[in-house]
Amino acid sequence: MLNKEKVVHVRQAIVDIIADIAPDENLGDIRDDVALREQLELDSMDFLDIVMELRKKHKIEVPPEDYPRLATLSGCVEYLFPKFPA
Amino acid sequence: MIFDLAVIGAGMSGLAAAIRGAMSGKKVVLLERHTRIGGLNSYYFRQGQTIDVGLHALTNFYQPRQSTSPLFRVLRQLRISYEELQLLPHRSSVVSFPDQELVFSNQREQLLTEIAQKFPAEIDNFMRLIEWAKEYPLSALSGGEYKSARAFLPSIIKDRLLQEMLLFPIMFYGSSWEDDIDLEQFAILFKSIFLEGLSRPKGGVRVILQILQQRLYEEGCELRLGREVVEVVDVKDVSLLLKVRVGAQTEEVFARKVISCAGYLETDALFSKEKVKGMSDEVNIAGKISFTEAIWCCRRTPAWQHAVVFFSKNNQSYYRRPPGLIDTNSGLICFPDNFGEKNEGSERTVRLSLLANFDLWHQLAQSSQSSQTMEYQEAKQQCEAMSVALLRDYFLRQRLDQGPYQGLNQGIDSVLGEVIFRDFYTPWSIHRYTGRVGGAVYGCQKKFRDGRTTHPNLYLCGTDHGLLGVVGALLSGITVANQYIVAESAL
Repeated sequence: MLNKEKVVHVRQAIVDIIADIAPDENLGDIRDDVALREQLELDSMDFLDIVMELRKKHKIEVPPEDYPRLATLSGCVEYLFPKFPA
Repeated sequence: MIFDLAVIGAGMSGLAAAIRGAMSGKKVVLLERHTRIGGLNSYYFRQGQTIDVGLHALTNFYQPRQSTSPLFRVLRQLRISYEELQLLPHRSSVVSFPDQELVFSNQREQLLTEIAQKFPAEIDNFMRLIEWAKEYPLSALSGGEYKSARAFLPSIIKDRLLQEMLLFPIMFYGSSWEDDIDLEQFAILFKSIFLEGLSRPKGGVRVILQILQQRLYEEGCELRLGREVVEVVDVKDVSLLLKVRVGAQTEEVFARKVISCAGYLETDALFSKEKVKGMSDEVNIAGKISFTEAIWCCRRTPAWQHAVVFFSKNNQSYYRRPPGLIDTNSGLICFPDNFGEKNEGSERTVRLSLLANFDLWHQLAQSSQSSQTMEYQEAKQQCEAMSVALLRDYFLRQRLDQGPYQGLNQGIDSVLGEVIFRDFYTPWSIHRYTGRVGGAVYGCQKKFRDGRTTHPNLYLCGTDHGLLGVVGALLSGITVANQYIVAESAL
């Protein structure tokens, strides 16, 4: 997979997780560089679920000290990119 | 085999904790002594009718897409869709005192208009109270200290009657202290009842329970019914051994962590040798608040608009363990059919809850058993008859010559004259069914707000964690599981 394709893949994986956690949110026009909490009704319990689903679906562990890196969609992609299989 | 998590009790909070634990990929077992889930909030069938126990109303009502309500958070965390619950908002409810009545619904303007008309000098203060409650910092899981709402309230609301009328329904819906409530609980319940509002799932409490049970199965949690945990033994700090009674047999269950929704004192009693916390210095923390509840199932629903009536016969509210079997000064009347549009409900039940004295009911039950007498049964009948009289009284005191109450006194008589069946719960029945010390439905007087006990792998959720009501209980189970099971599962 090319790097560009992988970025798209990782981004979609995160969007899919958010869609599972918050089925009532409109994720169509989500902005990558704006904090997820400012665009969606997500609180700390929902971020815990993002971490939980990353573990369940993709076997990726996110230690609590790294949670702030998941604040925006682009932050998520940047942080998770090396953790996803190539 | 060792489970990652064993949950004691399939009450609302235990169910939520088990679902969250299983969602995070843990191996979870949920042990429930009865053959039906729900604990304090359950249901039974009688003559083709489903009767709810516990739940009168769900607090924290919200419209789809309004997402500040704790109920919204609960449903999202448990992945339950809002539509599945089929929530019916109450048409209106009332706090009824001799000198004044406050009618409220889920339209906040209605309560504001009531306050403006009936307590004109207090409307600005009431607005301040709303802002105060919205901004109150919540300390769930941080272990805040108990503060008195009764002592605090005069700093915002000056009128004594209004103070009482606000405290009264909130105490009735969740205080384990006499004549007062913890300030944080007051802030939470004030928002939950008056600002967000009351509703009820169409189909009652069993709808919630069916959905929760379905979620348990979907997440792969093992639900073991008819299993009573009788003892918990520490196995070298590695895991806990739960001895479980199944009929005449005993089972052993090993778990690394345990969450109990059985109550603090009740859980403590399961440790036969080492106590979770020193009991001797805490003998006085048992909750004193318990209730009787009369349930009448009628041929039809009375022509009456309110869903819940919080009535007090005195302008000074009364909320404590009464000196007699029951207290007839105040109570809570619920018409489950008055949620949703007219004629939408079909339960045809009327329920009346009164404060009651556990010790007296307990003594009666014991002496009836030992001397083979009917004292306990007779007392139940007498108190049920007193409940009927109170209900009639309440309606007769209304101004029946005018407005929506017109003709109601006849209505209630003819409705109660056609009762299909009646039931009457006492604090002793509550104790026998739930195991609660003193039949204390709101738990003990001390709360364990971080969910921790002195045992490193044992946690509490539910009433003694300090979150009340069905929504509070579910939130409690979620929060405790998140903190100690889900968040730590990476380690």
